[in-house]
Amino acid sequence: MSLLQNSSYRRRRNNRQSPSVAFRVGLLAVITLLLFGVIVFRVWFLEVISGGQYVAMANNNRIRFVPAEAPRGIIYDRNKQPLVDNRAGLAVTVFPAALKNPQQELADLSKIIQEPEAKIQSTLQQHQEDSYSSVVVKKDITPDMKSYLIERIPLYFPGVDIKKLPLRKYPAGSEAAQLLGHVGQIDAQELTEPHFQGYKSGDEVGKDGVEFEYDKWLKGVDGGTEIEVDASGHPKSDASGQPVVLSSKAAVPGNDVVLTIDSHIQQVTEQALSQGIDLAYSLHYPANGGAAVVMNPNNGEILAMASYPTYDPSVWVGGMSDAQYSQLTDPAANDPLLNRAIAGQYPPGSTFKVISAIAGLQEGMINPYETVNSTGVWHVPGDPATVFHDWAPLGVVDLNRAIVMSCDTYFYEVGYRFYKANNNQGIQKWARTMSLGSPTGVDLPGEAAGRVPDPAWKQKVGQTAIDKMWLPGNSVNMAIGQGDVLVTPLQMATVYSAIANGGKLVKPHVGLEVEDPVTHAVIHDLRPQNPPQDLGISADTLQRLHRALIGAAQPGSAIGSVFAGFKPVIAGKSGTAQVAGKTDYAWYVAYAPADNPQYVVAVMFEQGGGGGAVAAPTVKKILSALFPQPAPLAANRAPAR
Amino acid sequence: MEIRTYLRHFDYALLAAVLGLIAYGMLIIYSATRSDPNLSSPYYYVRIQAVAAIIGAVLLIIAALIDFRGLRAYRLHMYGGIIGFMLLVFVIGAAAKGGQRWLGLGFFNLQPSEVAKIVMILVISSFLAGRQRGDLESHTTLITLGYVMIPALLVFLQPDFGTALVLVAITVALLFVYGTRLLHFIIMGAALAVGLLLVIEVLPAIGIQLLKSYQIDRLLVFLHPGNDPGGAGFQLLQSKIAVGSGMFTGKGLYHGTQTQLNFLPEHHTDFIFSVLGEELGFVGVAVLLALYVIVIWRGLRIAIISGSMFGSLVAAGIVFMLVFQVFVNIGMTIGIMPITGIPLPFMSYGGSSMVTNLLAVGLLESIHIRSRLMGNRRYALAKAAG
Repeated sequence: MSLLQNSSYRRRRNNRQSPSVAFRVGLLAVITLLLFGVIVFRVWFLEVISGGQYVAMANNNRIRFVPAEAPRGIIYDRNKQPLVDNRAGLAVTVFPAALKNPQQELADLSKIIQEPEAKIQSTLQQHQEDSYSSVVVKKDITPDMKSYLIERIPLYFPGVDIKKLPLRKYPAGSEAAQLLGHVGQIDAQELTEPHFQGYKSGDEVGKDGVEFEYDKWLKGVDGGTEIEVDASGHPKSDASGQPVVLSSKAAVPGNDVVLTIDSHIQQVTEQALSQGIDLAYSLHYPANGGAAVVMNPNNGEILAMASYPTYDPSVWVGGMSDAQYSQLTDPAANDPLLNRAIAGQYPPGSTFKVISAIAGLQEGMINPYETVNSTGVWHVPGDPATVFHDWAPLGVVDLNRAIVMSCDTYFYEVGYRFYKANNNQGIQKWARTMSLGSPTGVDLPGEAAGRVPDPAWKQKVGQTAIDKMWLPGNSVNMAIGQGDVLVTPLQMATVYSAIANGGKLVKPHVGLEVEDPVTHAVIHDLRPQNPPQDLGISADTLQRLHRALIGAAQPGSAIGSVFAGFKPVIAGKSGTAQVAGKTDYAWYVAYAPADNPQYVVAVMFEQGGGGGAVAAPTVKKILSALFPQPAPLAANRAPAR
Repeated sequence: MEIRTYLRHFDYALLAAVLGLIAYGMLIIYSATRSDPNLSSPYYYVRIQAVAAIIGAVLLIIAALIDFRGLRAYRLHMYGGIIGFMLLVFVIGAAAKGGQRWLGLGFFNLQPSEVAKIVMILVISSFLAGRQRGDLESHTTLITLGYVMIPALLVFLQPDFGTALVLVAITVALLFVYGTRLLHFIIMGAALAVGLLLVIEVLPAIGIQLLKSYQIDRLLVFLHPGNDPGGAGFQLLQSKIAVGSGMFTGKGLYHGTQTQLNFLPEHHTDFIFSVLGEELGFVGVAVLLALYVIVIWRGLRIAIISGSMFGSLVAAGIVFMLVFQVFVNIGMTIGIMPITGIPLPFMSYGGSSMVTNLLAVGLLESIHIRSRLMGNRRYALAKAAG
């Protein structure tokens, strides 16, 4: 009422509008204030209450992070020859938020960079959380792709870019491919593994071999640059035309890893292995795989580790095509990705006899002067039906001759004695002591344990009642390295190292040290911390075996005259292992020089036929490179010792 | 009468607030457009806006000096003129195959739909003020609606849904101030609701598209911002990000990232408020609203003291025209109103809108001066009599 009275009072004096019009105009004022009130509250809510959230969204709009991948450390051999190096590659990146027309752009991009669209999509999917970061969708594009793409990016591919990316380079080609391993993008499974704790999606990691084992050292710390972009995704430039960099962090390169591998020995070993395959073929053996290890028997440093067939690891760089992958994993290719030296499990054949001998002597089952008559066949006493064959009728042999001539009959007898004495853990105990049946602990992933069979194992795996029993034949077969014994070439190298070094178990390893990439100062020692551990084999036993193994490498032994005239004198043992349904597997394990062992060499060929015929010449080739032999003519002239 | 008398009765508070808004607007336009690489000069838009403001100021003074009451006699001329003008543009626009809303006048493009706002305020106000005691109230309402229907439809078909909405809003406000019965508003509200439902939902379903589909998207996107993140939803989201990220004091003039990096669409026209919110923050918004409050306060005061029904209606119509546009424009940028393309008075870049709004302020001043002169004369007469 006061408004009306007031108006009517004023009207007389000031010619104001009629009270009802003034009242309604007043209502209009109230409506206006209400509307403005709504605006004020809403703007207050946006700017003051939830401002922080919108600041984050505004930053997400304008700030783009371009990660700078750190170059991985270089992997060197022991003489600082680079085995794995880096090169500058080109990568195609996508900033998902800046794609104007994702469907169309990705489809076109897929054709240009020859990468399936589904693969690009899934890569982007993996990086969905960090939406302000650019994502590498294709590594190692060709210069042609680059120039084609660069011209079209501004018009057709907003949000797509090309950047430099360090990529792996293999200066030595396929050398030590399985040992070195390869790198690739971490997958969902790996992200959950303790080995990759602290890694994030999209990280480039070692997938196997040394790259995997020492990833924490090799991997650097990624850096990156935050730049400001406008709505069309173009980097904002300052007055001088340089992109506006909001913050920048340089990538820290990974540390270099020095291996115990000697590139020269590695090359020789691989070459010898490959020639051994050819040799086997020339003898009509269908050899299709093999492995060789050269190790220092005194400290376990691996100087060479080769596996056949092998492959060129550069196929992994930039991601391989499905065709390349199926070619590598085709059964006909016989698994070139497998490192047979540590992951291949094979019956050791006669190379195992040294363990039976050590067990026999140490457990008191045999007397070194006792003799056994080899007639060519042997059967379990009281069971003439079960016949075991010797490779030849060798006549009366003692321990030394049994090893030199690789007499099966002698070791059938040894095995049977263990069985008869109800000592069905004796040989097993020494096999395990000398590193069989469990991984050696080499610093490489994927090492196999091998197998040392015993009654408990048979009980577990046997299908029938008779299968579950430990029978005399089990002990007899095991004593000559047949039956169910499985070993890796590296395990056999470790066994023979123990004989060579006076009874100590070495831990095989390939890592030597970690170096700073800039100063090359050693920042970490990768060698095993503990000294080789004594196995408790008596000096007498070792001496007998040592002498027998020298004899076994000499002319007149089971392998004939492979090492005739070889200087220095070596010690070694062949093995020809039978595998059901396949041609025999060929083994030779040696150490040299016999009187002061520096190298132990173990060589194995799948379906290589005979240890003496194929494996021993391969070992000789390797040792010839380590101990250069005089030319053949000069050797003939040299006076015999 | 001497010019000095007119000047003495000018409402300077109103004028100052309006000039303040224009200056404020030009500052924001400068910030939003100064780094546009397509421009020959960073002052390109500011200069055009200044020219429009000067033309508008001249019209303001002319409008203030003429006696607004004389316009009542030209009601039908004005009405016929604006309809003809709109038809002309409509025909030209149809020939140009696309929604052309303006008439090229050489130095600038005149949008008849902007002029129509003022003309319709004058036409309807003079009609309503001329109604006699005893005329049927329902006739008054129906004829008023009839007046607005034709221009509203023409604007709507341009298509300019926003301006059509403004015309309707002005009409409703004028009917309200005139004193129309509540029942009529209820009926109009119901009819509007049914009409909107028809246009947006029912007619498209049977294949009649009165609004283009992008218009419907824009209209409804504030209800479902996620529906169209690429188009109208993107605009709205970027606008909200701009305003929200300004926080209390803003990112600083020229430093709004949403504006300067072009994430914000149409940042010097329809979305100029978002630029202000981003760069000057809540404080800048408060200053803007304060300036508007002064304009509205002075305008409503003029409506009350005008001394005639015609003056009150014209003043109230002009004020509500401004209020409605301010609310719908700001509401659009902060996600509480549909995106209709209504400019922010005195702030948004655009000559027609600037000229029309200043002309409207000239009318307010004219009403103010007349009421003062009349009041003084009556006061003098009363004094002489008493």
